[in-house]
Amino acid sequence: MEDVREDGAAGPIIRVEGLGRDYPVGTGVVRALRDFDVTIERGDFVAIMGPSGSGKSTAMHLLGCLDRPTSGRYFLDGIDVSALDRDALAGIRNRKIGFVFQAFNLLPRANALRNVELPLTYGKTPRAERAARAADALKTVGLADRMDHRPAQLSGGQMQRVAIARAIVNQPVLLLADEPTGALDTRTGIEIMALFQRLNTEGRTVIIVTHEPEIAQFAKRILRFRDGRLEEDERIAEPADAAALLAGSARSAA
Amino acid sequence: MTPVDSIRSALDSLRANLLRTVLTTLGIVIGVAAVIAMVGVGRAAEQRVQSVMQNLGANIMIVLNGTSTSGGVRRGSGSKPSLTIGDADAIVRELSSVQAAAPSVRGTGQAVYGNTNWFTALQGVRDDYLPAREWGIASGRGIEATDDRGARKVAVIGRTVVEKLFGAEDPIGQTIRIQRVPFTVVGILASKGQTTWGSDQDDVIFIPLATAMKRVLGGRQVRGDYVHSITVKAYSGDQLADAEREVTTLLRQRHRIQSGQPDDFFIRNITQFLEARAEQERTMGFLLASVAGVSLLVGGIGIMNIMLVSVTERTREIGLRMAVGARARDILSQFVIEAVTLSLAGGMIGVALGVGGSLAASELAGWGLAISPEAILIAVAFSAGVGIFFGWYPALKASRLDPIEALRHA
Repeated sequence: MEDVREDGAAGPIIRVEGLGRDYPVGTGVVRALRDFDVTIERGDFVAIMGPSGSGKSTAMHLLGCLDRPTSGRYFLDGIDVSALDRDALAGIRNRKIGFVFQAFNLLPRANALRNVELPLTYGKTPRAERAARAADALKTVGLADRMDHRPAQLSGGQMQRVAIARAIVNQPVLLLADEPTGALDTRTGIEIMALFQRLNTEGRTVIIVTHEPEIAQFAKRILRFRDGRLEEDERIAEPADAAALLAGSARSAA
Repeated sequence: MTPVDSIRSALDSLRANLLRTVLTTLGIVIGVAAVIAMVGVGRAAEQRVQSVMQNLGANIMIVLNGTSTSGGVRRGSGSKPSLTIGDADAIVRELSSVQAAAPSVRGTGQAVYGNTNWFTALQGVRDDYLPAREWGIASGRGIEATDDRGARKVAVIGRTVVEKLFGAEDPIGQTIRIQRVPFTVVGILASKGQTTWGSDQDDVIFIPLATAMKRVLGGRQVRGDYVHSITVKAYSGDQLADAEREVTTLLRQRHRIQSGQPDDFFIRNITQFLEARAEQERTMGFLLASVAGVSLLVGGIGIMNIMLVSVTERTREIGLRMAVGARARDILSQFVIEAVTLSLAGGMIGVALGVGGSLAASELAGWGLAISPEAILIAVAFSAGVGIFFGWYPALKASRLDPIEALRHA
């Protein structure tokens, strides 16, 4: 799909103009999100924050092409995805976006390797290539020695790493994580954030939805939502370094 | 997602709930087994009727002498001679449904050619017997009317007798001795092989009826003018039942049997008996067909039910698959393939059970065995069809899930 890109590789990864999403409720409508404008450049690390009902989940669903806006336009990697149908959106999600969820959402009966292969089975990757690419992704997240383990045989942190490997296996332009540390203890959560930071340093654009300030502190930019509107767009001059934090706590523990 | 991926994922999830899988397929198993048994039973019945028709000749019934009782001991059938050549002639003359009525006597005897000999069945017949039984002549000629009128000493011999007495030699024109009487071999019968019951029909010598009664079987094996049987051939199978009634009436008349007295002969109507039996087996087939139909329906509903449960249980998985790029048709095909895998697995077990059941039925009930590859193919296709039909709705439901809702599902 690289050939249909309009803006070219130099343009912003996300350009959102007046995005809104209404839900019909009874006779009226709930305006879950309105007038959402934002531009996110390649290589950025964004945290989306806000209380429940603030519109942050709706924003994430729209940015993740899981939902379609009621109004406004959304360009992902130069493609206007606001008008695409369900199947076309599935294709976009497959090629452009890697998802990470709070509950990991791994297939319980498949081992780590096959879980990571899953997005490739819905793309055009030849069967022979899949295992190699999945193995590479697992190496990237530090699980080269756990490929044939099933989710039940892995710790929470390891399961989330498998999920991250699954998210990056198709070389997406955007990593979208929804409360990725919500089911993990603090230290493991910081480890996962260190992994996200590393992936970001390597050039991947990352968006994390969270309600925890301790997690948002690792982002370069924070979007705060309230009452269905983007309330604040804050650029963080010096984000916390998760890896350094871990090294420091390891030293103090020793 | 390729079909291979879908099948692999289907097998995974079916293995995960093995007991549930087995229970769900039970209906299909029974249905398919019934289909196999049904087709097998039906075909076997038809095959047997056909093979008997071929052995016996079409539209044939045999009139035999009745039983006698002496001192309270009941002899076997034919022990009380009553049938005569005149009876046979009267049957063919007076009954419009009868094409031929061939009287015959039978016995056994030693046949000798040169220094070899062979114990075989002897049958005295007229020119009408072999045509009635549609029994061809391989070489030479059959028994002719003049042979009988002149009580000639000619013989038409079966394939087995040829082998035993002559080997590779040509028997036509040679002289054999039957019970020390010299006969000229004038013809060789076409081979008929074994009967359905396994006796060799080619181990026989036919000689003219008159010759048999006077010269060969007379006295001990044939008493007076009485014959052993009359082979009656009706014009068509439909007329067989009528012919049987008419022959009975006529013979009772000729034998002057008072009403209320039993027949002094009896009629063996094998074709009709077999037809009736085939009909019975066909009824059994219909019964099996309805069992098959109901089982496949119930099995299909079972599959639908379990697939609906599966879709609900795996809503999150469906959401995840959609999130990573599964289109509606990917989800649809995955669940349809899963349902088909389920029903095909049942189908396979059903085929095994059906084949086993047919074998058992043929052993226990004596129904011939006829497992046809087509029946297996039909059964497997049927079970796959059931899987598609009943798996479609749950799969459609899965494919229409909203990814956001599905991912939120507990």
